[in-house]
Amino acid sequence: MKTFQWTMKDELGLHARVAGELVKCVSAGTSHVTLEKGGKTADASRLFAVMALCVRQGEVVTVSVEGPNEEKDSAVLQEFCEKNF
Amino acid sequence: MQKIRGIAASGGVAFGPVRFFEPPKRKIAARKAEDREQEFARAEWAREAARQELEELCRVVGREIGGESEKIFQIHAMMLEDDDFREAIRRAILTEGWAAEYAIRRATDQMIAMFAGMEDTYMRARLADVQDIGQRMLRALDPELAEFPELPAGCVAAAPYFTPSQVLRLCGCGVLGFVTREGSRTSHAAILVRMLSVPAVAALGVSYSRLSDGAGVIVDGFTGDVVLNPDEETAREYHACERKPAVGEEAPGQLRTLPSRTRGGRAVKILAKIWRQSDLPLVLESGAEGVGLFRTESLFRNRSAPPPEEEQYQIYLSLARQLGDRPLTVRTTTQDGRLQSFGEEMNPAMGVRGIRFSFENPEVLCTQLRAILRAAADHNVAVTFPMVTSAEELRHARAILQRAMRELRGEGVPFSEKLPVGVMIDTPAAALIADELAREADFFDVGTNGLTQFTLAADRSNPAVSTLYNFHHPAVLELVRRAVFAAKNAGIPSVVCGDAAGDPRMLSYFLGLGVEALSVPPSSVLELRRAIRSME
Repeated sequence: MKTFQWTMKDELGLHARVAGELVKCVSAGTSHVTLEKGGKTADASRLFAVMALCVRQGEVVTVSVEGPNEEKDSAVLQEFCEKNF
Repeated sequence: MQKIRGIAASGGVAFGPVRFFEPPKRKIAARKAEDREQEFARAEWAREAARQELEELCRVVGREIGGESEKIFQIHAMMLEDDDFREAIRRAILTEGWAAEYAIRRATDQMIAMFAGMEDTYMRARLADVQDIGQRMLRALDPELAEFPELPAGCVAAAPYFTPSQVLRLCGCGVLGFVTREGSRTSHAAILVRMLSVPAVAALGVSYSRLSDGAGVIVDGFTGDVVLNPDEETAREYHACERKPAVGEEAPGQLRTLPSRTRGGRAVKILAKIWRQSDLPLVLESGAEGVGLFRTESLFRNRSAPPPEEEQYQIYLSLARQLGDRPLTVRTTTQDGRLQSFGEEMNPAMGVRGIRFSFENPEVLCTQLRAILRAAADHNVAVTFPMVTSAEELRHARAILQRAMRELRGEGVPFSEKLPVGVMIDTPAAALIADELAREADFFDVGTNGLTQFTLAADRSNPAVSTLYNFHHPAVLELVRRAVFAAKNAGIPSVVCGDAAGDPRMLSYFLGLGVEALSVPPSSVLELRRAIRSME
């Protein structure tokens, strides 16, 4: 399992349109991706679950990537997060 | 005549009779499935039909409205496909034995309840989106279950809140404006209304009950005012800036590239203000002639330490690069998330803000100035200082700028030796000593929001005094005049910013003063350009 942390920079937090992009990015890979914030976790391929985490600007999210392609998927995802949030 | 006030959700002025938009509350019976498999197939069919509708809708709105409008409906399509949502429907039918309609309603309500319980107003606004997809699925099964009542053209639609699909449909009917009891500027319905350039006022709260069906109102989407039963004089005043779709009117697409020039040939520069880096695509799309003000607080908020120089430099550089030759004015930060000294102040608006914050934290200012100086090396970048109330403060700020330049020079790092230094005229003090400040500044940003708040001693975020907050007040206008004239006399440019800058009713006043540039939110650029182009 690969994990990394990312800090939400967008002022609106992980808002709907951005959450949608994230879910799409996760679905494009084959790994199982989990988001964790303050003890709550969410399956990153599920839009409602991701939105329900209610990630706000400045909050830190731990992303765990698990599966046969975790190295590659994790790198793609990390780049996506850094670029978009 | 009465006036009520909500949140200005979409700029523009609309006149018309109020019509309440009330979707029929047809009760969806708690009916049990006769054949569970068949009911599930019906639900799946409804989902597929809704998905196809949304796909088509994305294409249409992408073509007709542009911007990011189709993203709103793409999110709806993704919500339909969400595993949790699908599972809730599946369980309600296959495990609990409900009919498709009732199962969809229950799954939708569950998701709505989840959003309704959120503290964050932005996230709470998402319940309208869930409502929207639920209705879309139900309509596929039986159009009468969630039909859209139409409203007569020329009216102002009123509802507790609107879903994005309702907004599209009602604009198609010729509705001229929207007023809502709940809602916010960030709901998807509000975003869509702004893209459609239809005036709207949201969050009227308890005042919403003072609206009555059929009564005439004026919706002022610039200020958030709704005038009930306006008298003739008020109506005349507002008519001056009503949006008239004249013959041969330029479409927004054309307006993007047309010059902001009056019929008499006077050019007025329209700049856009931004709050964060991600706003820039909106600016590029709006056809604005540059960024009039980049408020940098978003870079500092909610983090344990101020952003390092390199991080800030990359952000300013990336913005300046994308703008090309167009100017970028960076306002130094008025706060730093780490040092929340405000919380303990009795009156934070008059406390350690703006340049005062910078003087308490000179290292934060110096780091920010270094980043701005570096970004200005090869680009059209300027800096402006907020809340300056004396020439000494400006000199002090310039001294810190000199220090930043000395350091960079010593390190051999390229930077601009001629960074233009502006002053925000956002307090009555600054406006009253504008002549003195103009001698030492390279340009002025006339901040009408600050001027209004401090001159009238009315906090605009306090609903109890929000009716006093009025940038048309003669005292505010006089201070704006002093600042603009002082700049003119000193031969330096001035930019008028704040809410007054985006209000077409103020245009003739500003043009009369000789204002050459206005800075407004990206969403107001085209409307303002249209207004300028229709002036003599």
